[in-house]
Amino acid sequence: MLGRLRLIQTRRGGEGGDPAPAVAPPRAEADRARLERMFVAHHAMVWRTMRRRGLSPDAAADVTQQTFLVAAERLADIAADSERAFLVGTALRVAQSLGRKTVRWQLEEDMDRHVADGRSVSDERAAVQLCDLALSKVDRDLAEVFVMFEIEGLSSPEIAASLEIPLGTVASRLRRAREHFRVVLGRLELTLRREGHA
Amino acid sequence: MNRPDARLPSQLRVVGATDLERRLLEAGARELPSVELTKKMQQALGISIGIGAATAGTAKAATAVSAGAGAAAPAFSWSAISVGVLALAVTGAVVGVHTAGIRHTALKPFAAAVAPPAVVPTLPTAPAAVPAAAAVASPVAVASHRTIAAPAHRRAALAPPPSDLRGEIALVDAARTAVANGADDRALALLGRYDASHPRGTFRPEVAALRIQTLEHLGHRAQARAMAQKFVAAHPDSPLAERVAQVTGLTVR
Repeated sequence: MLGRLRLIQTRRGGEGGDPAPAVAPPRAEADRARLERMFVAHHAMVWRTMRRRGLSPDAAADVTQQTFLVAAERLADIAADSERAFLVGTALRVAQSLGRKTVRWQLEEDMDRHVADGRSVSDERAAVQLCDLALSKVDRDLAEVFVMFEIEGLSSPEIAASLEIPLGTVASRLRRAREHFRVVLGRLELTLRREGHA
Repeated sequence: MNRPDARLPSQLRVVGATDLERRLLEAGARELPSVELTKKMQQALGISIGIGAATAGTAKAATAVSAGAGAAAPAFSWSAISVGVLALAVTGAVVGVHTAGIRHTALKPFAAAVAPPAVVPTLPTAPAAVPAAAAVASPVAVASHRTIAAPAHRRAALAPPPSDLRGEIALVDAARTAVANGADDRALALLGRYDASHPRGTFRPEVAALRIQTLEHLGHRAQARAMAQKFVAAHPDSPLAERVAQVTGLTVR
């Protein structure tokens, strides 16, 4: 995937830059319109999926941007009903290719620290932080399925296509992800009670 | 999306979640990239249309509320534990809001549903038919989905009229007019502006419903339908749900 991205960027004369330089719009007006529509419809979902994976807002935007660059190159290959699956799957692979450096939680294992951080911001944001915190404690393979289904509402065929796994695996991962997520939240609640926030 | 397919159960936040679980999952689903980030992405992709203003992706900061379907205000109160930790920056008494269902049922047919002037002025002294709708009119309630510390109706009676409600109404009215006139692009732009300027606005469901209708008009049927499915799942009892389902040809269970 990364190789493909480099290829695309090179072809467009935009390699190496960050932020990525503007690319030429698709030649066909229909392609342009489609890409725009896809961006309108799905960029927030892609960005959010990356956020739930632990990426910072900027890093999530970078991955989203690269994902749509890939999509721009492959519009002809993307069926209308598989846009979400393509985009999410691509984004996950792009994120994977970036390695762990963009993952916020990696070096931050102290759950209470995040909770404390949450006190200085709005409750909505704190809820997002706690959501991400809980997800960070779930195995990544499971969390990906969980986020796609529980947060973004993708269907199991979409998830299966995104991750290139069988439908049955989607179901089993979701079941285990739920169990993990609930266990983590239970622990989190206990932590908060201990801290006297209950 | 209530039931994406038969192989998976309903989404946890639709069925079976605890308050805390639902709250976190919904918050995760509402987050949007900032206007700046969206613009940056657009520029990099050579997308020059007013997408930032026309879509869900432009609410302010990372805590913005989703513009898409399913962006329901949390229709529950926090558990005590989450209150202690997450109901932050709340000074003094806070007022709970169970706005989603109430608000929706109070607002009727599709076009009329986004005619807030007919509804809002009555909120502080709303009759029994929509008693808790008064909470919606409270700036505290509108601005946040906090905890319940006092009866909502009592708080609402004491609260001054919301300062930005008029702006919300104007935007929704303008968008509704644009839809009625077939100016769908303008409608999307107005709806996007609403999302950006009122990420926790009172009329988010109405805005989501209008967006679904507009996308349908524009021929983006798959997207409209997907949004409608989410909307119906999030607001099963809302008249708007019936309407968006009808507009998109969705079969409601």
